[in-house]
Amino acid sequence: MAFLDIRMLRKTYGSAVALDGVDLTVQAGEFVTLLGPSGSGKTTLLMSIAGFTRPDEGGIVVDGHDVTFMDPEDRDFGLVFQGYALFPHLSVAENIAFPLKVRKWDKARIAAKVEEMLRLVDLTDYASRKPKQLSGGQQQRVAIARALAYGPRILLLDEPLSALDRNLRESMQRELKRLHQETGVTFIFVTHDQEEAYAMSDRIAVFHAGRIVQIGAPREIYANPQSLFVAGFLGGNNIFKARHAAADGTLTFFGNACSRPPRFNPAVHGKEGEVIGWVRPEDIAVGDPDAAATIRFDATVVDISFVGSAEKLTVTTTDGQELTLQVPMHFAVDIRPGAVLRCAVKPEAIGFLPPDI
Amino acid sequence: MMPGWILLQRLLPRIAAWLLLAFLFLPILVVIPVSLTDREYLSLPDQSLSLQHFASLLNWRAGWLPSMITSIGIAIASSLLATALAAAFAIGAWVHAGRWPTAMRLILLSPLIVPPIIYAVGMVRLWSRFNLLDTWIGVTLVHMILSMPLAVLAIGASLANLDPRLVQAARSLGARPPIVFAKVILPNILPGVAAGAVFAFITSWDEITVTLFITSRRIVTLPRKIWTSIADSVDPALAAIAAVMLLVTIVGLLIRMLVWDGRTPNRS
Ligand SMILES: Nc1ncnc2c1ncn2[C@@H]1O[C@H](COP(=O)(O)OP(=O)(O)O)[C@@H](O)[C@H]1O
Ligand SMILES: [Mg+2]
Repeated sequence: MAFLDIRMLRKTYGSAVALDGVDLTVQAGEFVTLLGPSGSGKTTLLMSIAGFTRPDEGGIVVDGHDVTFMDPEDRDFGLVFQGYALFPHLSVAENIAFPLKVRKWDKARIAAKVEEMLRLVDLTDYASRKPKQLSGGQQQRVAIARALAYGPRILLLDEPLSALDRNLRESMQRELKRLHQETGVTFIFVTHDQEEAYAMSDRIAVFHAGRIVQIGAPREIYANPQSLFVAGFLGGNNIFKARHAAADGTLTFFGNACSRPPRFNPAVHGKEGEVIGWVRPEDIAVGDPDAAATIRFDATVVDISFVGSAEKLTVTTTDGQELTLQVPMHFAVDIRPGAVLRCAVKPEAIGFLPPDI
Repeated sequence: MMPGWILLQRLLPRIAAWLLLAFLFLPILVVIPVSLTDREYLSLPDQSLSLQHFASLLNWRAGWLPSMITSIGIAIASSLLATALAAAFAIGAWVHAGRWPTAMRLILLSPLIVPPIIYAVGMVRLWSRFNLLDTWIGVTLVHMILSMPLAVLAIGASLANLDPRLVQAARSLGARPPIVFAKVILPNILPGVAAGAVFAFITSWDEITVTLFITSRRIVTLPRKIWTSIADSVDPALAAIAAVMLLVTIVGLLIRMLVWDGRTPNRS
């Protein structure tokens, strides 16, 4: 049986449905990320697990015990917020000692544990500072150390890195991953940032309107989005319309007809008429690609924007669909809006979605 | 431009500010020389300064000392009660920032808005029904109610700087509500609580309007004693007692300022 087992959780605020029947199972020691746009119910689920939000229906079982209505104080789950929530009147060491004093550990044991936690988050030299005297990243490390000090069964993190700048966020991601591996604690991490989710998680649960719409390993979710929402939410994906003619087994899109790509399944994606496909910007090649088995089409450049590692092109195809693609910087030097590019995509890179979602 | 004009432009606001300050404070400060007069009626000192009127305050039969003790007792009791209730209310409102605290706040702050005389008439009716007119409890409760607004505002102000998530953080770390209160909330709002208590004390200490209506013979607070004395004498002891009251109020404000400044290094 799973370590954490959430069943059919529902929570409404007046007419707003925050959780609409959420099922989730997590194994001990797993790093699971709840990923979704703002307002999709991630915090509500996390706070239900923590015990601060009482679900209307459904249950939460941890290690075989139903904790749905247990007080938060008794759950032994660490909680880390975006705003750190450090006790401003206590020093770094006293903040970390707080849960240990509450548990009435003896002095020597508390001192040793605080020492150990300070070393774990690399803040030994800051033990006597007040939170206000630390940078955002350091404060967040104190908050994590404090939440891990007493050996919680689960660590719940609600967008803990969102307030940090980009470089710091990336080093904190590595730090969190290391802490997860060193402590072996189960992490449930909330974010709206997909790169953050990819970088750290064992599994990602994608939230949409109070439901988990897809759950799986990062690469699996990226490669196989199973609904229009997930395909659109993850990675600046190109969603396009194609026309399926069952009679001759062809799909028509971007102004050419081709035989059915390998990932197209008429039974799932549409037997006849309009179907929905997607292709990643990085899978569209520009110029004269070498491989033979490609689908080629012309597209007119609408906009060029520099994104740092590459140039991002927005183009329209001859059948009027807008696509985004990426080309190396040197390649884009002569490209101007209005230019017509010859594009190519491998049939196996094209995915399809069931029509109704 | 002419330098004189610039000088005037710069100096005028300053002069105006000082004049206004003098206008506010001189009448208050004049009681000090009058209290030191060597004559037997209210006047400025004639030949020499004298402490005789301060000495007469200590005469029990003159009634000043008992009134002072009454006032201090009521002020301590009502300010302690007001501070405790104000803290409970302010913290409750801070934790559940929902709708009823807003309505409650309005009711609680009403003594600041409702004219004291209207309040006084209402209290007379209410207290006569509960047989609380001219009793210690009656006066203490009224003073408590009147001091609540300032205490709530002072405590609320220090709570406004505190992240409500601290409560969730503390509870997730295993702290039950009493520990959350004692170890997390209270240490962070202590300056506000102290300021609230001082405000409440001062409010009770010089309250006169409502007190006049709800007391008669048994409870004679210091302001009431002054009030009745002014009506039938020109005893310079009045000026002496006014100087004492002034002193107590100033000491109270100083304590509050010290507490307030004492917390500044902590915050930056
Ligand atoms: N305390 C609350 N009162 C009313 N509505 C709430 C409350 N908490 C959350 N909601 C609503 O529930 C939905 C989910 O919110 P939340 O779980 O905070 O989303 P997320 O963390 O994914 O941004 C939102 O529509 C939000 O407005
Ligand atoms: Mg949220």
